[in-house]
Amino acid sequence: MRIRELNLIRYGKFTDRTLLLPFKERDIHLIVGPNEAGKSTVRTALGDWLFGIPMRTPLDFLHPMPDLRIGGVLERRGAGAEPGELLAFERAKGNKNTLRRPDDVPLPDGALQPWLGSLQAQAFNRMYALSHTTLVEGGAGILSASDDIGRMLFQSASGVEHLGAALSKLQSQADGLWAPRKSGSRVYYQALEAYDAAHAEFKRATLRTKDWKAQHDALSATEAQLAQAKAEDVELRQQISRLERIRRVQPLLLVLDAARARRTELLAAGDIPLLEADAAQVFARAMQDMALAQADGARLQRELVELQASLQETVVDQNLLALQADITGLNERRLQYRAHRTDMVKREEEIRLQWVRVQELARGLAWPADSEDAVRQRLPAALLRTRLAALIKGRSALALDLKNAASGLSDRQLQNRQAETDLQELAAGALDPELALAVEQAMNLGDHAKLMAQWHDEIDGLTQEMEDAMAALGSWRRPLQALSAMLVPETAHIQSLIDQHKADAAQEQTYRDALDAKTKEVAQLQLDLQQFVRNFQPVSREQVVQVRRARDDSWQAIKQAPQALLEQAAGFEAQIKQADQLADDRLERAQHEADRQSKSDALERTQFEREGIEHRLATLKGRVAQRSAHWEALATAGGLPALPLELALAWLQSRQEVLELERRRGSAERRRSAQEAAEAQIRGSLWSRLGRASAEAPAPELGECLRQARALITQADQAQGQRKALEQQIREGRRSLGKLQDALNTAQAAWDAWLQSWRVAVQSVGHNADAPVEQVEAELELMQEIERLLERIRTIRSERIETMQADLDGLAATATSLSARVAPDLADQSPEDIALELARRLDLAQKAQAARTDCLARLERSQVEWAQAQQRLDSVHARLAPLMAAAGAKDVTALGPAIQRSDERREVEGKIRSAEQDLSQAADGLPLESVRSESARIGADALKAELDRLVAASHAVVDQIAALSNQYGAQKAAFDALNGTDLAARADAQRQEAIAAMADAAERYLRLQTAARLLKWSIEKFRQTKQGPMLAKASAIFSGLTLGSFARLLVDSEGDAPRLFGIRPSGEPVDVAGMSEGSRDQLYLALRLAALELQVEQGFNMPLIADDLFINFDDRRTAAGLKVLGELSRRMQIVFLTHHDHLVPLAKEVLGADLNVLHL
Amino acid sequence: MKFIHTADLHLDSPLRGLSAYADAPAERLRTATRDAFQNLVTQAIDEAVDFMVIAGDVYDGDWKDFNTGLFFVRQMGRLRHAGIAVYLLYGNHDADSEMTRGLELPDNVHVFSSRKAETFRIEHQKVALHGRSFKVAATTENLLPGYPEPVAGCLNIGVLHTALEGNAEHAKYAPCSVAELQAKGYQYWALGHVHAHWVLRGDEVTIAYPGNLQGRHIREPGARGALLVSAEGDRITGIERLEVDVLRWHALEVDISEVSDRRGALRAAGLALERLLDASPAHLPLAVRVLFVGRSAAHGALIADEGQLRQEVLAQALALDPDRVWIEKVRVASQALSTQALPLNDDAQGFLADLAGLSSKAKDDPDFVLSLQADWLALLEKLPHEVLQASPELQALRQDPLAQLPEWLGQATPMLLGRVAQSADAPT
Repeated sequence: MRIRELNLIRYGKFTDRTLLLPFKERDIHLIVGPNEAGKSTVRTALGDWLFGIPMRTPLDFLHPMPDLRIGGVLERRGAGAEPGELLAFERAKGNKNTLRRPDDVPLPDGALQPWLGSLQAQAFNRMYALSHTTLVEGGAGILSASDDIGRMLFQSASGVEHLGAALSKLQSQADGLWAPRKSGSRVYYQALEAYDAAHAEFKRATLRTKDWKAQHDALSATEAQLAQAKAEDVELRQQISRLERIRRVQPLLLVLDAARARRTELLAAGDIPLLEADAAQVFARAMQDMALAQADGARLQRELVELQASLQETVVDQNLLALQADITGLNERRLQYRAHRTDMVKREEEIRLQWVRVQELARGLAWPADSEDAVRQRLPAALLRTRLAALIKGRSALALDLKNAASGLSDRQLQNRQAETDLQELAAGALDPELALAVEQAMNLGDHAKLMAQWHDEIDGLTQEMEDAMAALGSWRRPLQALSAMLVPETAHIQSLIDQHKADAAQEQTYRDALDAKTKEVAQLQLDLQQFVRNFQPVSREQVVQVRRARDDSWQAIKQAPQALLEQAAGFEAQIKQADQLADDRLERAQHEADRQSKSDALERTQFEREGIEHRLATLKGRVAQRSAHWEALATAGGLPALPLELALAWLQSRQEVLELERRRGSAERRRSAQEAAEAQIRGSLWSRLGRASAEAPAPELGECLRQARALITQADQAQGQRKALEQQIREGRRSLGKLQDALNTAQAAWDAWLQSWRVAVQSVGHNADAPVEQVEAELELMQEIERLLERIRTIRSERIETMQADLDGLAATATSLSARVAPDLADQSPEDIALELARRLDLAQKAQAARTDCLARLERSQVEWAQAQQRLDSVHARLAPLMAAAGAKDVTALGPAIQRSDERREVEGKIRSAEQDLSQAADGLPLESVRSESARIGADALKAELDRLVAASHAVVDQIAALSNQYGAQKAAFDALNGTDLAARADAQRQEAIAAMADAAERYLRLQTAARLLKWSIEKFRQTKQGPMLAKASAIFSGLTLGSFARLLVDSEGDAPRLFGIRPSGEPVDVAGMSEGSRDQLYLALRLAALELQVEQGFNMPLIADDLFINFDDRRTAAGLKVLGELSRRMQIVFLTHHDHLVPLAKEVLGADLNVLHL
Repeated sequence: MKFIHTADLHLDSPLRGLSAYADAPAERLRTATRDAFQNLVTQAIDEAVDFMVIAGDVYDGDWKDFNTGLFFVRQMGRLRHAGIAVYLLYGNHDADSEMTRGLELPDNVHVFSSRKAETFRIEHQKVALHGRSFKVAATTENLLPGYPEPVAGCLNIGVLHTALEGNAEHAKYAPCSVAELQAKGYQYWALGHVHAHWVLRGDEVTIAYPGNLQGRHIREPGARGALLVSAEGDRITGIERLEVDVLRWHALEVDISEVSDRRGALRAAGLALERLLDASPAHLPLAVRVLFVGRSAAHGALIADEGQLRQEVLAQALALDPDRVWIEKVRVASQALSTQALPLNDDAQGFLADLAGLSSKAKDDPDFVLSLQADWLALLEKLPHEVLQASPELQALRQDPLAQLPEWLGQATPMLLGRVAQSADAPT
């Protein structure tokens, strides 16, 4: 699609202006006009014509909004000879039917759909209506891959986008297997660790032959020593055993011989019958039993005689025993009544004393006291006495009530009168309300002096802080006004610049470090190479060639001059030899030469890498310088001092602090002034209300004014309070007077009633009515005591004295009766004596009875025991009878010596048997005679010495055996541990497993690393040769626009996001930020044109409106730009707007006759 | 009359190339050579053989642990207890071993002299055994001429440790030819040194290598053991193989021609392993090298990540029987289909073709070659000697990296293609 003509009917400054854009082979149109001529209006008009005039437009300054109108003709050219297609239409301003035919007939809204497709106004303005601004914005958008074109740009040939990921994976896998740095996470090093561990275990477990043999020999030697020591030990033990036997049997032989001699001696006097072994014991026990039985019989005989005599002497009084209970009871009653007679005397005396007291009291009452009955009859009735006592008791309370009521009434009357007097005396006064108001205002003002001090401190503090903050601005300090007037760039922007700066600084340091490292590496490699050459002197191919060439030259010379052969032969031979020698050397030192070449290559490669780093460092420095310049311009424009960028944010922060402190100080000062004004006003008001204002006496401090005003107010308040209290007191006093008068009347009535009752009662006991109360009360008390005493006398007489007399009478009757029955001789004695004597006589009778009973029992028992003693004697004789028969004894006395002889014979024979038995055991089984002869060969002393010697020797041998046994045990255990264990074999197997794992890891690493290296290399080559279609086009256009300053464009996909680089013809990459502004514009234009070309290729063709795009192009690049546009205009329409007249001849020169130039 | 002929016990020689992993039957197989010999002695006792002939190489020459000798003595003791005589000839490894000189063998063991050929006669069975031990390992002369003439009327058994003619795999110690042996007039030649089982029966003379008792690496696959020889008079009447090994090595080829993806290949490996287990004695663990072969679309996926592939094959093995299978290595020896047949879109196809083309040019870029070589040497120079010995590939790479470059790049390219194809295919 192209625009054939544009009619600015009523639009902006234009009225009925037509721009004709006829088609030529190169469809490019240059619209030239000075500023304000309407170039931008033309660009806007094209968009508005195609897509509608927007609701709001600034282009209604000449024609009213509803009248705006644009027209024109669209054209689509036919292919080859085919006819084209035209569409003429106009665009009106409005909400609907804005699309019209030239004859103003509305067209349907979709009429342009076949021409514009889905293109919207926004996309048209972004892609096809370009100003310098939209070009730059669009270019940046493309580079950030934020739109389709951007994505298209970074899309290389299909599949390449996966290469980075594949490479990363390869490298990551390789790194997981091996890397120069040891790490437990890497497979190879894990295996290496296992290898080392297995190797260590292998060495530990391996048993060397010589070690085994050494242990074997040592064990054998110890075994032999041990056997020898054991043999020696056996020998010694045998000798010791023999001597021990001799020592054992010598005393036994002596004992045996002595016993045999004694037996012979005993039997010499004849045979001695052998009695039972216990015969002596049996005999002794029998003799002892017999003696005991005989002694018991004699003692019992004596006891029987004595008991019978005693029985005959004992007499018992049976009459007394029969009255035993009565006599005992009589004696007990005697003891019980023993104190009665003295007690009766005491009671009589007590009665007498009571009666004397009664008589005294009766006399006090003037009563006759002749007898108890006479006195008793004079006592008044108890009821009357009680009545009188009650009246006396109530009298005091009634009298007190009456007195209290009277005094209460008079006190209250006095108080009332006093209060009324006080009230009248209290001065009346009133408070000025204005004064109170002034005081309240002063209070609201607060502590003025303190506040003023605080404000002062705060302002001083802020001033000081501000001074500090100003100082923090350093040498870039400026006056406050200047600081305030500065136009500060956005912090984010500065931060961004600083971040970039820091990143570049870090990068620079990295480059420098890398450069240092590379420089050192180069030096090291050079040194290595020199040393290598010096040490090995490898022969290079060039040397060989050179020598051979000299040799061949000589040969040629000889061939050309055969006559000189003899002269040159020696030299030629030497040359042959030298060449051969060198060739041989080179052959021999081929490895050295290869090594030298390898080192030389490494040096060259390192030098190349170092140059690369230097180049990158230089680029980085350029970028830093550029950014510094940008910052300086920014600072100058904002009126900022020439700050280093790194300090800018901190400085601006300090500046902001200064300004903030200034603002706070101003605010504080304003508030302080307001406080001062308010204080002066309130102070004056107070002083005048206190009535003290005068020209001579100015108002004192606010505090003093306030103090005086407060004192005045306090005084008035106190007087008012007192008055109120007195008035209240008077009111209450008046109310209570009535109550007090009622109470007085009640008390008086009660008193009168009592008086009446008293008189009646007094008269009833015989007094006159006026008898004094105290007298009546005293007489009543006397009567009460007399009545008590009379009652006491009566009680003693009836309850004590009469009872005791009855007891004594009964005792006498019983005593008399008993004495008449058993002791008439006592009839004339007192009852107490009779009772006493009868008791004594009863006791004697009871004792005689007990003695007789005991004597009878003892007699019977002794008779039984005497019979038993006789039986025991018979038994003893029976037991001795068999012994006597065996011993041939006729009586008991002969039996003792016979038993003694028998026992002696038995003892001797026992000793002989025992000695023979001991000898048998001690002789170790040898016959008695051989033992006797062996024993006879050595004396006791010699035996002891020999035995000691042998024991000592045996101990030494035993110690030796123990030591050797220990040694042998340890050696044997150690040797037995060498049992053919498979530990070393297992360790070696594990080592082989680790080796296999290491080899496997190494192989896999090398495969992966090779593949990674190959892929990386391929990617680089691929990038060089295979680019995406858009990148390829943009590359070509960019190279043309920059006149070959850049060879091509390259996308680096390795980072997080793909980045675009311009590649110099030298191969140096330059990123977009590193390009000049002109180059950057050219890059953006190249990207845009490439995108348009792609769209054209895809069949979508729209005109391009370019508004002064070459503002940063120099003339040569402008020409190049026009040329590029000219080429593009063969495939799409281009309308180029410019205000540069000088562009016209240049454009005509570049584009020739095809260029259509229009002037506005 | 019957006897056992064995050789090349190589007691305590470790299994090589097996890296332990969780659940591998490593622990019980670390003494495989001992266990195999113990089995043999047990069989000798069970069979009540008349004697045993050991034709050299009881130990590894450089093996220093005397415990191995003590173990051997103990086994000899078992035979002595059973009344079985042993005729022992020292081979090149034994000659190197200091244990040979230090060990005190029981009296039922008769060792052939190394000074000259010696004959032991068993009169009651009319057997004459002739042999000569190695004095030094490097015994490269033919010992056969020094062997005595056969004893008439006896069964003559020649015991010889030799690299028989034409055997390239073993060092050429005490070489001789079959014809020489046949011409000697003995009825049986009990040979040792060659680890493979080999028997040449003839009317007059039988020549036999029993092979070693236990395979120790993937180059010693299959059953291993000794020979049970029967004779009547001076005639050999039967030779029976006694398989006493406790672990058997097997290179298992898994043909993936018929499968199209990684999962199918793994399934095929699982099936092959299962078949192998079914066909092997149930009591025997197997050390298996899995080799994927054939031309398959799955090749790329397999070659792309051999580490992961190994883990997956291990998983298959563990699932089958962890006690019986020890995976030695997993190798992808298959080949890819042409890239056009890969299930990828056109762009990806194009890219892979480009990548393959680029990779083939890498070896011509000196910068690339230098950097790759530096990568290699960084590791190779740190590898212990034993690791290099264990891997011929690493050894070759260490000795001449440049010579290996084409092959390694050739291997890396399909791996890369496989990986890139996987990642390119992943989103679609």
